[in-house]
Amino acid sequence: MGAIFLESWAKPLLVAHALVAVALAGSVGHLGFECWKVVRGRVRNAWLLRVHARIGFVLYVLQFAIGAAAYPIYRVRVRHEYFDASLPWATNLFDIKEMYAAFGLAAFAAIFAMSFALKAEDPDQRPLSVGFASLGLLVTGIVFFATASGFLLVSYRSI
Amino acid sequence: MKIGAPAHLDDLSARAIYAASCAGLLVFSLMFVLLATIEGLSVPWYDPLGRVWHIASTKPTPVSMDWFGRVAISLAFAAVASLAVFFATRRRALSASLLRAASIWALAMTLIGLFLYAWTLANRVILPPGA
Repeated sequence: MGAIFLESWAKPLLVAHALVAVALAGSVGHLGFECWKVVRGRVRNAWLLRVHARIGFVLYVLQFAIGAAAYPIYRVRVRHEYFDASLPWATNLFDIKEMYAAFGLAAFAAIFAMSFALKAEDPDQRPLSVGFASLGLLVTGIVFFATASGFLLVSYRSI
Repeated sequence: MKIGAPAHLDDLSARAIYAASCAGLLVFSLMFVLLATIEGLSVPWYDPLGRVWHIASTKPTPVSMDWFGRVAISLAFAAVASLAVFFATRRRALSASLLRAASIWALAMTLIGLFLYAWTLANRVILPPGA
């Protein structure tokens, strides 16, 4: 067992983090596309909107949990032992990613709950649908940023 | 229940859930910003090498992490706010304009938080360990 919590599981955690990231990016890609259509004034497929608001949230929570489990290992083995000394910009980029991930969790939880309340097909609910879709686009942006920056950082040093 | 099943809630409950969702996000973003900007505030820190928690206003060890504590506190406040708003509004007919305003406030507070963190962290100077 390593000195750090779950350190002996570092590589499986990293691979799981990458695999879930790909699935999550696919789900929020669909969510973002449907949300973009809603913001532009047309509900293209309300079923897909709901499906990806719900599946995407489950994937996001899973991804968040795996990331949180691996975070202490990164903090010592990657940031403290390498990034802080050699690549300070990478430390800052990672911290931005983690802060954005936390905001994304709250935003996705809101979308998830809204998906059980909103009838996007109903024209009378258009103002509420636009609020939902705006949050959906925000979450999509956060996930794509986190995924891209995560893959970039791993290319320099991983746990 | 099918994963993509449409909402079957009555209008009052649906609007209360929408309002509670906005309140939760608003409070989370507000707390997450406040916990990072109020000076001298004690928060939980996790020391990954010692595997212990500290309550402190400054970093107890060079590798201590305050992210877990700040996320947990913000989520707790957001959960309380969501429940309070849900139970306070589930028997009142909230107007669409009020709900729309709530979503705009939640989105705006989140965008402010994202900007503040990005600005602060992008301009942070990292000193090498031992410097």
